[in-house]
Amino acid sequence: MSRLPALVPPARLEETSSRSEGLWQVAWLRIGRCGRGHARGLSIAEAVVAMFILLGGFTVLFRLFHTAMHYSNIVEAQQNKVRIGLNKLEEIRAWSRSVHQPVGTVPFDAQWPYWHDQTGVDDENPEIRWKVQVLQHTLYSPCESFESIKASSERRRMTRSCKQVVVMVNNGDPEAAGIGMFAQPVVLTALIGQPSIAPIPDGSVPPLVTNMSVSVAGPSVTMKVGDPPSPSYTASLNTNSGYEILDVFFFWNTLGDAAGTIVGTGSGTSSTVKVEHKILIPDGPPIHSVPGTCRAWATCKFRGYTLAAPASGTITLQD
Amino acid sequence: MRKQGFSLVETLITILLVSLVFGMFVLLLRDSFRLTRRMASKDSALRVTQVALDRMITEARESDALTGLPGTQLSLTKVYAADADRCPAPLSYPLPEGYPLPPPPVEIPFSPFANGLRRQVVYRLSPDGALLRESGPVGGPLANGLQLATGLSGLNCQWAAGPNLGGQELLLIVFTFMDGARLRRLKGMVVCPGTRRNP
Repeated sequence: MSRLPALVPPARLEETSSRSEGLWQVAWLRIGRCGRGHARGLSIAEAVVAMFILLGGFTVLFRLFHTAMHYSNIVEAQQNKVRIGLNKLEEIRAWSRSVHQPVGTVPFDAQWPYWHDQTGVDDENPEIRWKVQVLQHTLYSPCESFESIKASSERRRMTRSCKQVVVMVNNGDPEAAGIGMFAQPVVLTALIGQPSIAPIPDGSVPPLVTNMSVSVAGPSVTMKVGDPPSPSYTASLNTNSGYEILDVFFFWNTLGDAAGTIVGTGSGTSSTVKVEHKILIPDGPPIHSVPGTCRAWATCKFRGYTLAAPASGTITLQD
Repeated sequence: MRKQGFSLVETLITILLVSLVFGMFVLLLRDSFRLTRRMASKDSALRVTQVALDRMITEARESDALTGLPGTQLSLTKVYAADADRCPAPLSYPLPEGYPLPPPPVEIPFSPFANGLRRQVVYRLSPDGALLRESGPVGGPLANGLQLATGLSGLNCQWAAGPNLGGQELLLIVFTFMDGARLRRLKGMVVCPGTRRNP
């Protein structure tokens, strides 16, 4: 008693001690299922159950590890397919730059039978097959969002100078997804434009370009007051070899001692127009042009240089 | 008489079972460690090589001239975009305080392909298999050696050959590296359009 704090009464201490001992005894009986004095270990049934639980745990761990390895292999296989697809796209891009007009001789806006719907096997991974599709693609100037607010007939569209190339890579059939994640195809898409050549200026001021020119095709025509518009005049920008540079936007004028009015014939690059025998007056009705002769001039800009040319045919406007 | 613990048979069976489970666990653990080590090594080699290949492809795409092809190194020149002095200062007309107007500034001829405005970059393998990137002025000494990858066995750069590709600017870069006990190849192709712009 002399070691206890002076503030604790002796009776209270004895009561606390006997209660806690009783509780411990009950707990020990419930957990160990054996009383003091006759303690024993697990029964054989308990041991076997414990073994099975342990085995189950290890099996789950092993399965998790195995799954991680499996997914790692899948990721690597998909990355390999992506690399093959990227290399194929670069190969197609280089091919187009050397084969298509105006650098090569094959028209760019024709079909690409060399690649379109072609399939093949990767030379280093024979189990991997690829397939290429070349699709028509339309670009808008300056961009599709801006042009979408215009009427369809007024949208500035470039329909010929760009192709959408789709490369599909997979084990087995490149287009179909097989069973399992290893057989999921990789599909890569790129836009490839017409090869470009640089204009060669002649050194004059303003410079004239020597290796390409605008040509305007259209007939000579005579129009009287009230006649329908002229036949179409079509402009194109061509290299000296005769290869067309696609999707160049043209601006038109009628120049001469008379002046008709240029009428567009549809959306796109304004490469084709007609001429009417009248002059548009702002905020007023159109009036007829003065009699005389003029030509349709087409002007375009290409890589910083301005090129222009008149139609070969003359337009004669009469009263 | 009350039972005081395991009998001998129970103890033996328990020891046997524990040994079996422990043995299986050790086997699994050993295989797991082995596989993990192998996968980590393989992933690391592939990732490092892929990063190096991507960097070379990006720089080759920017290049305006490639020399020494085919070869075991990639030597290229490119316009040095980080050089602030590569472009002449913009022409500015100070506000005139009186007439006559001052003469316009002399126009400085400028070409991005002048040697003083370009850099030479060389990628090569060191004898111990490290990929080095060195750069310097065109025709001058190379410096700033940067180690991009290690553990590589070979580097081969050449123009890709194929139908309609003769003499074109499709560069083929092939790395070889050890993937465990296996020699692997990593191939990258890139179009180098700038090589045609440089007269």
